[in-house]
Amino acid sequence: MNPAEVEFLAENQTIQITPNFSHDRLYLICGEVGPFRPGIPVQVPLWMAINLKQRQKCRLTAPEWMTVETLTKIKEDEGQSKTFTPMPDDHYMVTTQLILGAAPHDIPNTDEIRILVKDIWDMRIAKLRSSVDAFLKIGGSLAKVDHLTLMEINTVRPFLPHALDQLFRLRQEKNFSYNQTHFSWIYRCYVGTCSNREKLDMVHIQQEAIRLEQTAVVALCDKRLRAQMKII
Amino acid sequence: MPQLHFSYSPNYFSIEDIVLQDIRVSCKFEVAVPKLGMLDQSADNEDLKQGSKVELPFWMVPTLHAKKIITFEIPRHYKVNYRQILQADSIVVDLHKWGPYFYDLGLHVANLGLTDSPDIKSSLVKTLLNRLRQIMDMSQHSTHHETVHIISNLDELERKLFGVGQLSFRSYKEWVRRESNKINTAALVASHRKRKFAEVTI
Repeated sequence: MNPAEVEFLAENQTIQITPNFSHDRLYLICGEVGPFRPGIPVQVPLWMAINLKQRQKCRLTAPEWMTVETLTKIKEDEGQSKTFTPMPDDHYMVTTQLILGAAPHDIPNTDEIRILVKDIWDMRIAKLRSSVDAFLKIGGSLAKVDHLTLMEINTVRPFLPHALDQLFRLRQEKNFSYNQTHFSWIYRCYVGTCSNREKLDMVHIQQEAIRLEQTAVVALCDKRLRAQMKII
Repeated sequence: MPQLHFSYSPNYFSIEDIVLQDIRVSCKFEVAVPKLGMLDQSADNEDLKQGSKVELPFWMVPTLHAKKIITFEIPRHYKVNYRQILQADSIVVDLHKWGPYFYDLGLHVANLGLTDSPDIKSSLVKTLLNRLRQIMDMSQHSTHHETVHIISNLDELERKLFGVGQLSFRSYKEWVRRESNKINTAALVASHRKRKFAEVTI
């Protein structure tokens, strides 16, 4: 999943705007968006808010958690707690990026907010990395982490599953002799095809046995095929 | 994000698997084999005498070993003293020098059913575990230039993991800079220097 996809999912959240135009109710696939009257606040999806703002048709209102005091408090909580604290918004990073990118003048203290959000993000990512590392070292098979947002999970996404896959591969117990497992498998297939009397299946089994070097099964298939040919 | 395709586990058709098994292993023939004297360059016999030492590629070893035709020496990087080096400190070891495909070849060696096999396997697993932290940290923090130094110590499997980590880091950074929305000319096309039509017509 790339960050653009996460952004796409995050854009569905609603935000309050104050339009400066007039329009009736809009009926969209994702729901209806109420009638627009100039100066009257209305809730719209984030993607629509950004778009309207870029066309200079509205003013954005910041979400309640996007103030210096709230974010400072969250940052302190995050610093003191060893685990992850719940975030005010499931997509705080994306929302901050989008809103501060599109409407810096509608929000008070944009620089401080940006710095605070970045600090919170860095703290959580550091915690995430050390918990991933601890998880790998213990060799645990199940980890439960609460209150992580999608964007943070996405930063470790292809690395962690692949690393675990490789570890799993290295740990797998394999039968000591290739011959043993291959023989039992190909022999079972042979017995299975004996009953259904399909010549083509027998030919395939013989080819597979040759590839796996199971000479005994090759000889059996050979005998069978010759017997069948004689009948025909 | 593009899917990362590893050709997994001793897969018959994986090119990597084929390449890594090309390593030479010194074997001793336990039975006399007629007409294969050419394998042993020191003797002039037409037949291969019992007890003659030959260097064979690794992919021949499992079958011959299962049929008890040869006894062989495992490649030296999987022996006891090297395993002890890994145990002492796995992070600074230059695994690329020890065989660009250290883990995969180790997996093949361990699957041959020798007395050392469980030790080899557990040493592989522990080494990877120890080095994973460093790979993760390095991949999330490095720029283009430093990369060459960092990955010179890693073997192929670790390099792939490193590449994956770096890819996710780079796409995040690109997103933060809001460049993932921009449509850029591909580097290949820009270096073509054939975009003359647009300039001519305007």
